[in-house]
Amino acid sequence: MTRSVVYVVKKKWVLLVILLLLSGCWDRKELEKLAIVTGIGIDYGEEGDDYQVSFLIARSGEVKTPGSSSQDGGGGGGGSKSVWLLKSKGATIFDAVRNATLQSSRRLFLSHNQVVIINKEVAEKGLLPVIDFLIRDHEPRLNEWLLITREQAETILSLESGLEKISALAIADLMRNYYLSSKIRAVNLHEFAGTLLAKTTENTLPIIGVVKTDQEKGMVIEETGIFKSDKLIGYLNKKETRGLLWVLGKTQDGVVVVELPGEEGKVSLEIFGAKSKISSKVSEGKIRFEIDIAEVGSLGEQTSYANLSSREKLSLLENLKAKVIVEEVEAALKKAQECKADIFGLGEYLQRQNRKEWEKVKDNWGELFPHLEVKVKVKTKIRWLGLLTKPTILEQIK
Amino acid sequence: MIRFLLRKFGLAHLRKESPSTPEGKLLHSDLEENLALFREELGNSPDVIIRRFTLNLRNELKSAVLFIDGLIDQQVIYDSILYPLMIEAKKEKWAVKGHLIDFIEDNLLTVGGVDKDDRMPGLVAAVLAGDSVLLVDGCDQALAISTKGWEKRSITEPDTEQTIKGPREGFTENIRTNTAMLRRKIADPGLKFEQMKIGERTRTKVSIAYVKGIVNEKLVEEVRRRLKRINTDMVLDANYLSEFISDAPFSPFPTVAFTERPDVTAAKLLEGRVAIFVDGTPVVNTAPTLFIESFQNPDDYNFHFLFATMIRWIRYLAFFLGILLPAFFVALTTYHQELIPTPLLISMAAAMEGVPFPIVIEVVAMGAVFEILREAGVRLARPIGQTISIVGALVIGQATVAAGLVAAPTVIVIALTAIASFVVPTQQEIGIILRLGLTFLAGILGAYGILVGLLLTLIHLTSLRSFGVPYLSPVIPLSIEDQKDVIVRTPLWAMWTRPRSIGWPRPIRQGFGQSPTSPEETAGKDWSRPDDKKG
Amino acid sequence: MEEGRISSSQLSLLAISYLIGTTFLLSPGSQAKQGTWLTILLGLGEALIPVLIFTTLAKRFAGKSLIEINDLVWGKIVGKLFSLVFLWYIFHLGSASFAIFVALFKTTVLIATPEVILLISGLLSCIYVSKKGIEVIARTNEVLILITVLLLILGFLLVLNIFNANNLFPVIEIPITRLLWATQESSSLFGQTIVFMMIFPYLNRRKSCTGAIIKGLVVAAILLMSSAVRTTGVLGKISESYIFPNYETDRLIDIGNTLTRLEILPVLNFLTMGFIKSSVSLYVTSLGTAQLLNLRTYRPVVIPLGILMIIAATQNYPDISSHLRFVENIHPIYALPVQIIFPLITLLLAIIRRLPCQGENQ
Repeated sequence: MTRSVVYVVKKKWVLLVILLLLSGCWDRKELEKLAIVTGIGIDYGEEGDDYQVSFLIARSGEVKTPGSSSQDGGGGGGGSKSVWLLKSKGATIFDAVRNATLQSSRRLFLSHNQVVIINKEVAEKGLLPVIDFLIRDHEPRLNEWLLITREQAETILSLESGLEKISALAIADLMRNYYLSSKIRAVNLHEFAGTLLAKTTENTLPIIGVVKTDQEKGMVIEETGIFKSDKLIGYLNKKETRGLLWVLGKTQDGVVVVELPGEEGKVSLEIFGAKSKISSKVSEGKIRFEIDIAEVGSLGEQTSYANLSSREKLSLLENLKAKVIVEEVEAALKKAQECKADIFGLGEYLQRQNRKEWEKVKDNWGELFPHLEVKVKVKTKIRWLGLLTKPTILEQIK
Repeated sequence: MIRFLLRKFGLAHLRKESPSTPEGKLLHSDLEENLALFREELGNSPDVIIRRFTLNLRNELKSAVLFIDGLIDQQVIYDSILYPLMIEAKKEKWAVKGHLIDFIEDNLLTVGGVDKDDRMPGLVAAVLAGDSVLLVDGCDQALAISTKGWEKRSITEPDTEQTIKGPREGFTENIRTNTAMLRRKIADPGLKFEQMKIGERTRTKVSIAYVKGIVNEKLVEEVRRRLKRINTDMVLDANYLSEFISDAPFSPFPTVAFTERPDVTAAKLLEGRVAIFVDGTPVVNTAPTLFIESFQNPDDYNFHFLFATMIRWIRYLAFFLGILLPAFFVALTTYHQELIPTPLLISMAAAMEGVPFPIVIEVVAMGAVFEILREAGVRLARPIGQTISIVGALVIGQATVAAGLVAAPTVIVIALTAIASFVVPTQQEIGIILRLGLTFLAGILGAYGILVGLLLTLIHLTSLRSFGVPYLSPVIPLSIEDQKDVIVRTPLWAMWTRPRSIGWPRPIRQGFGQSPTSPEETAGKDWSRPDDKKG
Repeated sequence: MEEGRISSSQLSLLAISYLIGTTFLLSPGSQAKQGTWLTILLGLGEALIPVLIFTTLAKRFAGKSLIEINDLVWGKIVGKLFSLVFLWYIFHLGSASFAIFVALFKTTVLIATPEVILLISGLLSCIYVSKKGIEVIARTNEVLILITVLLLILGFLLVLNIFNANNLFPVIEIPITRLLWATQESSSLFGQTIVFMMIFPYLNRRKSCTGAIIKGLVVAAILLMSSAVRTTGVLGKISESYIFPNYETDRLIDIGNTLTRLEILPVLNFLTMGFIKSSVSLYVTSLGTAQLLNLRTYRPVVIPLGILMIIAATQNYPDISSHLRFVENIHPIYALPVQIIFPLITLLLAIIRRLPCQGENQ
C-alpha cells in the first residue's frame, strides 16, 4: 500500500503539467463564434489611398433553417438574408480586416474565403499590396479565385446568384466550371503569385460584371484582364480569352460555331479536348515561335439542312474549325503584343529550349515580345456525331 | 515519508502479519475427544453434520462420519461409506490384520480418493473442501474420504465472448470441469497442470496449465515465481491474481489476458502461452499477452480468411475511431476549421448556432452521459435496462438537441464513438481513458495536443512487456512472418509457424505447403461427371 | 548505463528520422531552386567522407562511444574538451529542432498559445522516451517512420492533379559557386549522423554500423529528394519565397473541393520526426554528459538537460530569419570541425599511437 502511494506521489509532476495545460486554451475558436467569410471585395476608400474591404459573411444561422429561403428576399445592394456584407476601411488590407472586428460581433475567419474581387482601379495601381497579406497570412487559402471588376467590388458581392444562397460560392463554382465554355481564364491566388515571380510571363485575370434584367441584377464573367507585372493594362474579349486558353492548353470543352459556305444555318462543334505544343526556333538572331494545337471534338448541333455525316463534309468542318481556332489565337496574340505582355509564357519556352538566347533577351523581353514572329498551326478532328447519323429533317422538305 | 507517517500514527501493525504455521494438534484415540476437537475448530455451524454409527467388525466400535452439508454428494456417502461400513461389514467375520484404519481403507471403502491423516489442520481443511472424515473409536488416525459434490452451473456459452460459428461452450466456476474441458480439447500428454493453493483464508485452487514441449520453460518458471510471491488472504476471481502478477501494474493496458472459452485457451496454449485457472471463476488468465490479441477473435478462424481479414481491419478502424473520433471532432471544430469543406462547415456552424457551451465541454459531458447510461444498463436487470436505453436515446439525445443545449453533430459523434468502442471489448477500459485524455488535449492544443497524447501512448506501449515479450510485437519489433495473423488473417494451412515472440522453442506448427490441391492439378479430373470425358 | 540493444535496421531507421526530422520543413539547398534534388544527391555523395571516417573510428574501437574514444586517444583533458564540443553540437541540434517546430506552430496553427506550453508539451514526450532508453526510442521510431513514409506517398498522390512537370526545368539555374555551397549545406546535414557515434556501442552487431548508416543516408536522401521534386513541381517559382515550401505544397491540395487544406496532417507528421530528432539528441547529450562525468546512470541528467535545451531553443533563435540564416550560411561551416576534422585527427592519432592495444579491445 505504502509503495503504491509513494509511486503516485512520485508521478505527481505529470499531474502538475496537466494542470498547467488545463489552465488555458489559447487558440480555441468556437465554430459558432466565427464569422465565416466566403468572399472579399477590395475597393479604394473615399479618402484617397485607403482601402475599403467588404466581406461576404455566411450567416450560418440562416443558411440551413428550413423556410427561410433567400430567393424571396428581394434583390438589391442590401444583401440577402443568408449573407451579411460587412464593409470596413483601413490603411492596408490587414488593417481593414482587423478594423472589421469593430463592427462584427464575431471574429472574421478567412480560411474559407473562396473569391477575392478587386476593383479595376485598385488593379490598375498594382495588386501586390493587396495580395501580400493573402499569401503571407496562414488563414486565407492559396487556391481562392482572383477576379477584377469594373464595378465596385462590394456591388458584385451583394449580387444574388439565381441558384446559390451565397454569391461568393456561386462565383467560385463559375471559376471551377470555366471549361464548360472555355471562355473564362480562371486564376487562383497561387497561380497569380507564381506568375508574378516569373521573369517574362504576365498575368491575366477574369473580369466580372453585372448583368441587368427588368427585376434583378445578376453576375456575369465578361472578359479577361491583361496585367503587366501586377498592374492591369488591357483586356481580352471572350474570343481572345479562348484564344489564350488554346495556347495554354486549358481548353477542355466548349463550342466552336462555324458557317458552312453555300449553306444556310450554322454548325456547333463541340470541343472534347485540346493540346498545345510550343516550340521556339532561333535563326539569324531572330526568335520564332510555333504553336501547334491539336484538337478533338464532335458534331454538337446543326441548324442547316445538309447531311454532314460524310467524311468529306467532316473534313470540311474540321478545316473550318481550325480556321476559327487560328483566328482566335491570333486575335489573342495581337492583343497581347499590343500590350507588350507575354501572357502565353512564350519566354519560358525559350528559356527551356534555347537557354543561351534567352539569357541575352530576358531583360528586354517586354520590348521584344510585340515583334515576335509566331506561327499558329491547328489540327482538328471530328470523331463523333452525337447520337444522330443525319439530320432528322428529311431532305425533301428542302 | 509515508512509511514514517504510518509508523507515527501507529498504523504499522495494520500491515499484514505473517501467517502462523502451527504444527497442529494430534488426534486422540478416543472418539468423543476427537469430535470435541472438531467442534472446537468448526464451531456449532448447522451445516457441520456428524453422523454417528456403529461399526461391527470384530466387536462393536463407535464411529462417526463428519462432513459439511451441501459440499458433499449424499449418494457417495450412503453408497460408499455408510453402506459398506454398517451393512457389508456385518456380513462376514473379518480377520483384521494390521492397523484397523488401514484395514477399513483397504477392504471396505469403495471410494476413489482416501487420505489418512492424524493431524487436525489437514483434516479440517479436507472437511472444508468437501471431504468426509471417518473417525473410529480407538484409532488416533482418521480417513479423509473424497466425497465432493455440490451444485454446479451447467456449461453455457459465455455472454461476453460469443461467436457465430464457433463452439458454444464456456468455462464454469468449477476448476475440475474447466481442466477437463481443456483436456478434451488437447489430448496431448504434454498438457500439464500444476496445482497450488493461493489465499490464506480462501485457499483457492490455482492451476498453471501449459503444453510441455511447446512452452518456453523459462516462462513457466517465471509464472510459478510470480504466483508463489502472492501473499493475500483471498482470491475470489482471476483478476485477483492478474493484478498481482502483471508486468506493468500501473499501465491501463491489460498485460494479462482473460478468456472464458476453452477453444481460445487451447489455441493460446498451443501457441506456447501459459494459462492460469482459478477455482470459482469461469475466467482464465493467459500470458504472455500481446496488444494484438485484443483484435483477434475466435470467429476470425471460423470464417473465410478474406472475410476475416476485412473484419479485422474493421476492428482496427473501430478501435481508432473509438479513441480518436471525439478528439478529432474537437480539434476540427475549434482549431482547424479550414480542413472542413466549406458547405459542411456552414451547415455545421448552423447546427451549432446558439449552443451555449464550448464544444470540448459538450463532448466530454455527452461522453459522460453515455458512460452513465452504459453502466446503468450493464448493472440493471434486463427489462429495466431497455427502459434506460429508451430514456437515453429519446430524452437525452432528442430533447437536448431540440432544446439547443447540445449540437446535433456532437450527438452524432458521441453515438458513433460509443458504437465503435464496443467492437474491441478487451480494450474498452483503456479506450475510455484514452478518449477522455485525448479529447482534453485536443481542446487545449488542437491536433498538436492529440499528437502529443498519441506519442506518449505510443512510447508507453513500446516500453511495455508482458512476461518478457514486447507488448506491441510482432509489429514492434517487426517480425514479417508473424504478420500472417496481424494485418491479414492468412489461410490456416499457411500459418505454419507459431508466433516468433512466444512459441519459438518449437517454431514449426504444421507441415509446410499444405495448400489444398491447386486448380491446375484438378483440371480435367472432374469425377462428378465422368460421362463428359468419354464423349 | 544503458542495457538496451538495437538492431542495425533500427539504427538505419533512426538515422532516416534524424536526417529528415527538421529538413522537411527547412529544406537544405533550397537556394538551388529547381536543382534542390540535385544538391541533395551531391550532398549525399560528399557526406560519405565524414561517414566513412567516423564509422572507421567506431569500428576500430568497437564497443566504445565517442566520449570514451576521445579519452583513450587524447588523454583525459584534451579528450574531454573534444567531447564537450561534440556534446554542445548535438545539444544545439536538438534545441534547433525544438525551435523550428515552435516557429512553424507560432506562424501557422497555434498563434496565441504561449511558446513555453508548446515547448514543454514537446519536451515531456522527449524526456519520457529518453528515460526509457535507446530500445524504446528505436521502437517508437519504427512506428513513426512507417506512418511518415505512408503519408509521404499519400502526399505525393494528392498533389498529382496540381503537379506541373514543367516547373522542374531547367535544373540548374544558379551559378556553380552557389550550387557548391548548397551541396555543402546538404552534406553537412547528412554529416549530422555523427550523433550515432554514441549509439554504436548498443548495436547488436557492431561491425554493421557503416552499412546501417549508409542505408539510412540513402533512404533519407531519396525521401528528401522526392519531397523536393514534389515541392518544385507543385509550387514552381514561388517556392523560393516561402519559408516552409513543403507546408505550402500541402496547403494547395484540392481534391474535388472536399479534401482541402490538409496542411495540418503533414505538419504533425513532420513533427513526429522532429520529436525523434530532439529525443535522440537529448538522449545522446545526456548519455554523453553522464559518461563525461563518470555517472552511474544517465537518467538524472535528462530532465535538466531537456530544460536547458528548450531554454537554448528560445534564446538561440529569437526570430525565424536568424534560424534561416543559421541553416543556410552558418551550419555548413559550423559543422565541419565536429563532423570531419575532429574524427579525422582522432583516427589519425589512433593509427599513429597504435590504439587500441590488443588488451584494451576486449
